[in-house]
Amino acid sequence: MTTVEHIMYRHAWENSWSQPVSRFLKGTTARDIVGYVEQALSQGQWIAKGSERYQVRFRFGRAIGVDIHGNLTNTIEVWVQNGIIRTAYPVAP
Amino acid sequence: MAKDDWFIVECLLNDLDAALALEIATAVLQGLQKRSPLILSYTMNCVDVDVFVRLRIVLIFDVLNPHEFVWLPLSDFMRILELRRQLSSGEQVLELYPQMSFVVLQSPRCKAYALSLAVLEDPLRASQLQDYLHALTQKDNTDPLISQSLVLVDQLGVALNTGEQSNVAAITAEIRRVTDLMASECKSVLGELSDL
Repeated sequence: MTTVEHIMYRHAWENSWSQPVSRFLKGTTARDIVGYVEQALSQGQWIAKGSERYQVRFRFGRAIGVDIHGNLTNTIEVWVQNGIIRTAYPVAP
Repeated sequence: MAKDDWFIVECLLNDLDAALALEIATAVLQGLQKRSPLILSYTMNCVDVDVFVRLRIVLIFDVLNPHEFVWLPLSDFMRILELRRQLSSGEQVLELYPQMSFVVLQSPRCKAYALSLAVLEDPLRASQLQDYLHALTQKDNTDPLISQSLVLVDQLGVALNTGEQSNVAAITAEIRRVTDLMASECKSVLGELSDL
């Protein structure tokens, strides 16, 4: 499964998971998510989590999804490991 | 505990806030009162958590790294939930992890033990958990009990798919025997710690 497939499978609005998993807003496309991730990686805050992992957070000017409790949020969290994007999802700011 | 294992428990804290910790702890306590072979499953952002209530163990699967997982005694898991409710940040909980017993339970054999217990509790997950056992055999290909578990769980998956009930019973009995053999190493660690 590619990273985008993983994100869509787990964090798309239409998925069947119940909470506590974050979701992108209804209608968000894979292309939208790629755009969010690119913006987060270029403008977000990078936090080292060990030598090979980074947690990147970025706040957009608008809601992009809901957090684990179903609250609207404008923040994305991206995980990068060994230079590869592993996952991305909305989080509470 | 390996770096990847630490990362999984860090990820759990990343996904967990005080409200969710309370929600899960409440569900587990309710499950314990029912005393049935109950499994509570949570799909989170970075990890998947399966609480085997009757067995009193918790398996935490890494979403970012396929086939990586850690397992915890339920008591450790409940302590983490309680600490997350009490402390203002996940980082503070992380500092207390070294005091918990699960950090010395992540050897390949103990992980295989936990997986085998999980298969015995929920045989329909044999195919899913088989992949994790396979990953363990690649980490430690010298442990005959892990290899034996893998073969048996593989056979169980096939027997379940083909509906061979007599085979299922025989294979399950064999998995139970191998699991008991693996138990000593892990149980002794738990025993030593609980004596402290």
